[in-house]
Amino acid sequence: MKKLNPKEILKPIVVLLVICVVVTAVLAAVNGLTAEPIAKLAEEQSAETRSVVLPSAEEYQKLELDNEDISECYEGLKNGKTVGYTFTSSASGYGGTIEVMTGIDCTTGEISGVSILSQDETPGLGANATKSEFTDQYKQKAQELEVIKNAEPADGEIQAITGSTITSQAVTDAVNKAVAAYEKIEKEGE
Amino acid sequence: MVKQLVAVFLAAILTENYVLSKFLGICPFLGVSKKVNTALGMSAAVTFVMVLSTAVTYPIYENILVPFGLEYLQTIVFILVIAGLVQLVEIILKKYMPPLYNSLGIYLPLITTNCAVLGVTMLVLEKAAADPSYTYVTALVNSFGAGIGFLVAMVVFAGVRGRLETADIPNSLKGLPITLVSASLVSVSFLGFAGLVEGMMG
Amino acid sequence: MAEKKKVSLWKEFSKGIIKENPVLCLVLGTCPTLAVTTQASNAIGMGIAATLVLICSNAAISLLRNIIPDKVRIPAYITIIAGFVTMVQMLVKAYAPSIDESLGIYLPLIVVNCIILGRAEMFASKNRVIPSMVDGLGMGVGFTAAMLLMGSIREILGAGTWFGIPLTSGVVDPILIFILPPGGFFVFGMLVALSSKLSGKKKAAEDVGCAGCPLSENCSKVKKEGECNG
Repeated sequence: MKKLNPKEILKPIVVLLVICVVVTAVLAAVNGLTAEPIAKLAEEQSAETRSVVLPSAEEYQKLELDNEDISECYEGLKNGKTVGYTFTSSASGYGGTIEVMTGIDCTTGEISGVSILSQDETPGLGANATKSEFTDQYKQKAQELEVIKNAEPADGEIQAITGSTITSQAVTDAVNKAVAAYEKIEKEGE
Repeated sequence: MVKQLVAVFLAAILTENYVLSKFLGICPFLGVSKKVNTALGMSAAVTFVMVLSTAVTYPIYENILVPFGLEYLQTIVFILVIAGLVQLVEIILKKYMPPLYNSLGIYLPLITTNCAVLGVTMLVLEKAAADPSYTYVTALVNSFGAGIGFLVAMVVFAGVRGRLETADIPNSLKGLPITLVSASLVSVSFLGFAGLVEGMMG
Repeated sequence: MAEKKKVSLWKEFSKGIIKENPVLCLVLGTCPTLAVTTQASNAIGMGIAATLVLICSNAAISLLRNIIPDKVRIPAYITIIAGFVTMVQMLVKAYAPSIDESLGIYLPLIVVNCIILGRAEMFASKNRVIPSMVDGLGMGVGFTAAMLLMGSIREILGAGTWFGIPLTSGVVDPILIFILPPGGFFVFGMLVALSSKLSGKKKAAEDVGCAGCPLSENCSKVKKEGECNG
């Protein structure tokens, strides 16, 4: 076996190390440039979703909830009075986790809107859950909801998307978590 | 807890099959599925590397990248960790477990650039971020299930391809096209598992 | 001289689109081709992201081709490619969030796309910077074109829309299976068959493209092994 030359061993290591350091430095610089727009965009988007699911409020205040099911909660205010809450909850659907934001109006106790934040469902099937034809079904509902198939939905029932019962069920589960969290807040408030 | 783990495991094999529904790891799926025994060897190696990489990258992400605000280095760190692990496993197997090396060793270098492995390590983190009940153990079970799902798809497909050898195929479709069409049919059969896991687990 | 140079650059560019189309002829990068082509717009987004990475990584690797020692070239290439992929990912997140949402995990997975590593190994490591960038552009455009074709076929047949514009609504019901995974495999198989028929080859590619893959040596070893044992 030929004797190993230290230069032969060192050079690859040094070159690789230099490449890693340079790449990391460049990435850190790009991150510095883009971190702000990304965070701003995310904030804008979630503010917009909040105003869609709880249109009656004028400003929103973040609440810290001691609830495992809810990842984020905002209190909606109008003229300094609480008019409702938005809850972000998730449930696992067919392709992965579905994240849902639910707005609940506390003057009526009804759901004021539901919006799907992220989903990984089958395009053309489960992904149709993001359409308003499906999410509008949740509006004005007040109690724990159930998914049904092939029938006219009665009160407290949600018509499943054709061919996507699992997705429909997951969205409903997430909404139910929000309803439960809302009821808990109301109870504690009394 | 156990119920959740079983559900995650079965879902990773059947409904979230990495090859047939997420299209990860298509190259080895089409390339080394001609014979059942190579298919088995390749998927065993993939499963092993998947679990090992998840075991290493998950704590790295949670304990090093997140606290220091370095999430953006995820891709580069993960790919280098996987490449390093594969090399290390190869050396260890060669030295201490020659029989295992002889049967799996040749598949190992192919795995570094297998998108299924990198995909698993990233997807489990995505799931963990969305679901607070998702732990390190769940992630490991999930990646093991993903590997077994890869194995099931490879072996089933190798069986289907065995049948093709004696079939009379139009000239333009010979080779890759007919392989892809058969893959499409196998994938149809996996669509039938929709809802199975949720149904079983209530 | 200048004339000649122009001609050869044009050749480097155009080969990637038809003669050596990375998707349909070399059969590289199959994962994203199948996964993100459920909509024509996704195909374009993925194509542009991959093209950017290809041009940049080809340029960087070509610049460094005399510095990177042969032994560590694959890890070095992967590091450089991963760097560019992350950069593109951050830019997309900041300025085109809808693309980031629809591509999801497939965006960071450009790292392991064999087209990019394949071009680094086959072309950029042996050629000057300008031809390497042109090669990357050509391959990227070829990749985008093939994905756009597949995305269009699948979206029109499977959802009845094209770039989200309804085309067949009320006339024909969309054939949903085309945007589901099986439809992806099927359309891809048909396109490979068609392209080999049109290019006059007697037979389509036997397997996924190993020619451009730096690991092809191991790959063919694995295949041979299988044949011996089987």
